[in-house]
Amino acid sequence: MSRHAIFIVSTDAPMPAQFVELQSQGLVLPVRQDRLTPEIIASAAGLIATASVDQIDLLSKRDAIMKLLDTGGRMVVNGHVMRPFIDGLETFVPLQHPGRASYTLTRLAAHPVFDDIPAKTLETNRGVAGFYGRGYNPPPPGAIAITGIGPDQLPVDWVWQRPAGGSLFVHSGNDLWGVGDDAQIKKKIAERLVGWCRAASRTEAFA
Amino acid sequence: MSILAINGGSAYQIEAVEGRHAGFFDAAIRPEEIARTALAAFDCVIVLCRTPAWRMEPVADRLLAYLDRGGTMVAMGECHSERWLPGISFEPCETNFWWWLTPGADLGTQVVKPQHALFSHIGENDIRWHLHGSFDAPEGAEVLATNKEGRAILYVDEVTTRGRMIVTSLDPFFHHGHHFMPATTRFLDGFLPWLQEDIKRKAAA
Repeated sequence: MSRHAIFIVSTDAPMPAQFVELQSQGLVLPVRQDRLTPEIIASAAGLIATASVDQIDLLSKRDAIMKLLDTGGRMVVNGHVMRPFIDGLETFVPLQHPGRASYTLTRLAAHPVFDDIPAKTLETNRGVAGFYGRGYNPPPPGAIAITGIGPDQLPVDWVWQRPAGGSLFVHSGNDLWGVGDDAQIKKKIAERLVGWCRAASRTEAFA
Repeated sequence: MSILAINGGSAYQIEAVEGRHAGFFDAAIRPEEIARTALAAFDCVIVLCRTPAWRMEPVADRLLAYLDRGGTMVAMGECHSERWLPGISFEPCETNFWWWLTPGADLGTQVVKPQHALFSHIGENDIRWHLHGSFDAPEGAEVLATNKEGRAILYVDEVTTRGRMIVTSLDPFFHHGHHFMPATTRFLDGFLPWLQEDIKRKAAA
């Protein structure tokens, strides 16, 4: 394990409660997006971007983010990609026929973030589906689809170990720590996303 | 007549200015570009839902100068406009996203000025999804819609400055841009044509 993850704060709301304990342990650091400098990016094990992240700004920070990844860093991306801010991302594709049947979730591959968390438990909030995702960010070749949405099992969640180094964890919907009804699971997901970022091996960067 | 959108760069804000309603905006700039943009070239400046107040506060003086030259500012929901526009008294509330799951429940939003031209474009059902807060509108402002306590959720203020502020706590661009909630799309389908007509009318007056 190395260093901290950075939670990019992009709205007026503070970092969500699920991360507060992790912050007190020094495992995650909230950084307001306008203060996210190349030096701060380089100091992290990984970055966590919310569904509200300013993607135009991230695009301007592309080189620093690519460098983080190239040196073994990791990034968690939530939401809809509208400005592919790093290589490998493509613009979000909304579901063609949104509706209850289109929002079913299927686990397609195991991933430590979802250990013991069945996809069904995240499918609805108070019985209402559609919060988890409304489409997908197309994965690059070589990515592994973790969760499929709808009857066609479109890749709403995927992970990509980049040939150049580092990894991306992409969830194409509302922030992953906010879906479902179980507060313990939400906290567990936040902990695991931070843990996943911190499991980065940034040997080159720290040499 | 022209409308300038302030685009904070989130997915839903980009969708707002480039998606279904793109044709309503003559230009879009980032909050950080306001300081070097001649706002007077535009009849209306619209700040999209969930633009962080910390990105608008540094240009509050510039927005006030724009208003005092007769400009129209639109501040959408979840923008904490009370921190960067004058005379706004906002009170946040606990958002009940689930009121509609209870049979017969009513969110309590109400159109209080049905004769206003906006409501030839939208109706009661198009302002009703959920609430994040309400305003104590200034004396003399025109309140168009309220919550169940009678506090403003959408009003037009032509008394605080020499210009006009259209202020709402509704956040349609956020949900529409996230492909959620048809009511928010209906709101924008009516609100933006009204805004366009209204600034045309104002420019001709």
